Amino acid sequence: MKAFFPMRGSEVVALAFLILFSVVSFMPRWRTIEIAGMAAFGWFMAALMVISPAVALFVFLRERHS
Amino acid sequence: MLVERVLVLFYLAGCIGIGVYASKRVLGSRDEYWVAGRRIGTFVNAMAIMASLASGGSIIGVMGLAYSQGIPATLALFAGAVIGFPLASLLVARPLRNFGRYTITDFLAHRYPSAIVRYLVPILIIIAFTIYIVAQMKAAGITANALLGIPYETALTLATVVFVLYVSIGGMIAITWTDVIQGLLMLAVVVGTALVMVWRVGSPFELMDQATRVAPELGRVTNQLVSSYLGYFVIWATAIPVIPHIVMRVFTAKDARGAQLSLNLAMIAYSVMILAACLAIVPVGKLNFPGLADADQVFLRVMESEFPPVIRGIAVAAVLAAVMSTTDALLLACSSAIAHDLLGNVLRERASERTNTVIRIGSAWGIGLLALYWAFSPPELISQFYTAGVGILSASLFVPTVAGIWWKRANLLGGVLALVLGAVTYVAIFFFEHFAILDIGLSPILVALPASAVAMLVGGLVGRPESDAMLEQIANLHRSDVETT
Repeated sequence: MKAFFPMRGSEVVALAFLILFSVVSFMPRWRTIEIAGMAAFGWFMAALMVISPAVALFVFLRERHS
Repeated sequence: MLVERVLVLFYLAGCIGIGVYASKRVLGSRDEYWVAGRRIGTFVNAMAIMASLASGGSIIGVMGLAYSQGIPATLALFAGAVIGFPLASLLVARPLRNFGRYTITDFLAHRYPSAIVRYLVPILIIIAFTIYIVAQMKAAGITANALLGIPYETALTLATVVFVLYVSIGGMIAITWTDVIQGLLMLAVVVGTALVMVWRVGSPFELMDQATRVAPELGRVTNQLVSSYLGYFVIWATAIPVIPHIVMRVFTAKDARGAQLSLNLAMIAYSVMILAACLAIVPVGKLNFPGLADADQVFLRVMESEFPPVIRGIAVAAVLAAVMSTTDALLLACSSAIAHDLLGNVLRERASERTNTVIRIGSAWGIGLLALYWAFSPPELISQFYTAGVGILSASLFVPTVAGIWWKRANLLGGVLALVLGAVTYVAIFFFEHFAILDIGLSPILVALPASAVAMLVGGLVGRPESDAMLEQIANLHRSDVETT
C-alpha cells in the first residue's frame, strides 16, 4: 500500500515549482542586487504573485480538458 | 465631507437591504444559512473569496507598509496569501468540497474522531477570529473617523450594527452578495487609481524609476531579519487552505471544480490589487508626499490630491467595504464555530429549527457585541495579536488537514498530537519572544509548523492505523466524479 493518496502529475509539478520558486526568492543574495531601482527580492515577490495564479490556472484548465 | 458621508450611508443602507432580502431565504435552513445552499457560481464565489481575504489592511495597510518599509518587504508579506491559494486549490479544495459539510471542524472531527478535536478547533477559531474582528473594527473606526470626521465610537458602533445585522439575518447569502459588491468596489478603486497614475507617467517602470531615484529606500529591503518576512509569508501561505472563512467558501461552491476555479480566480484578483497598490499608487504617494508622519495616510492623500469629491467618497466606501467584507466573513465563521461546531450536535437532536435559528442569530450578535465592547478601547498591539491569531490556526490546523487528506498513515493519535503541539508551540514561542523571556530569532510559525508535522509523523507511525472504511472514505473524496451535495 502506498503511503499517500495519488496526486496528478501536473499538480505535483506545479506544487514543487511554486515551493522551489519561493525558496529561491528568499535567498539572501537577492536583497542586495537592484533592478530598476528595486531589490531583486522585490521583483521575485512580484513575479511570484503573477506566476502562482498563472501556474494554478494552467494546471486547472489542463486537467479539465484532459 | 457631505458627499463622502452620503455615499457611505447609501452603501451601508444597501448592505442592510441585502441582508433583509436574503433573510427571507436563509432563516430556517441550515444549508442556506451556513453555505448559501451550495449554489454559488464561480465568478461570484471568486469575488467573495477575494473580498473576504482583502481586509482594510489590503488597501490602507499595504500602501502604508510599502511607503514606510519599502515595496519588497510588503510584497513578501502579501505574496504568502497569494501562494496560499494554489496550495488551497491543489491540496484541499476538491476533497473538502466533496466532503460536503459546513466547516473545517466538521472535516477534522470526522477524520480524527475525538472530543479534543471537536472542541479545541472551534475554541481556537473563536479566540483567533474574535481578536481578528476587533482589529478590523478598530480599522473601520479609525478610517471612518479620519475620512468622514465621525467620532471613533460612533463610527465603530454604526459599522458594527450594520454588518452584524446583515450577517445575523442574511447568513452566507447576504455575505456573498455584499462581498461581491465590496470586492468589485475595492478592485475598481485600487486598480482604477493605479491605471490613472500609470497613464499619466507612461509606464509602471517609469513610475518606479522616478520614485526610487527620489526615495531609494522604497525599492530596498529593510534591515529586518529574513525570518521575519518568511514568518509572515508562511503564516498566510498555510492559513489560506485551512482558515475557516475561506474554507466555508469552498463549501458554498456548486461542485469541486467550481471551488478550485473560484480560488484560482480570487488569487488573480487579489494579486492584481496588491501589485497595483504597491507598484503604482505608492510610488506616486512617495513622490508627491515624502515624509508623511502617518504612512497609512498615503492612499487617502493621493486620492485627495488627484480626484474630485465623488471619487473620494467612493474610495472611502471602498476602504470601509474592505474592512466589512473581511469582518462579516469572520463573524459568520466565528458564529458557525459556536452555533454549529460547539452546540450543533447537541441542538440538532433536541431543538426545533426555530430554536436553531435563534441560536445562529444570537451567536452572531454575541460575538459582534463582545468585539464592539473590546474595540472601544482595543489593545495597542491588536494588529500583532491578530496575525498571531491567524498563526495559531495555521500552526494547529494545516498539518492535520493536509495530512488527513493525503497521508494514509494519518490517524487519530497523529491528528490530535499535531493539532495540540502546533497550537501550544506557537503560543509558547510567541509569548516567550513577546515578553523577551526567550529569543530564538525565528518567527513562531517556523518552529510550530515543523513541530506539528513531526507530531503527525510520530503519531502516524506509532498509533493504530486508520480503518479501511475511513481510508476508503478519504479515497472517495479525491475522486473528481464524486456526486456532491
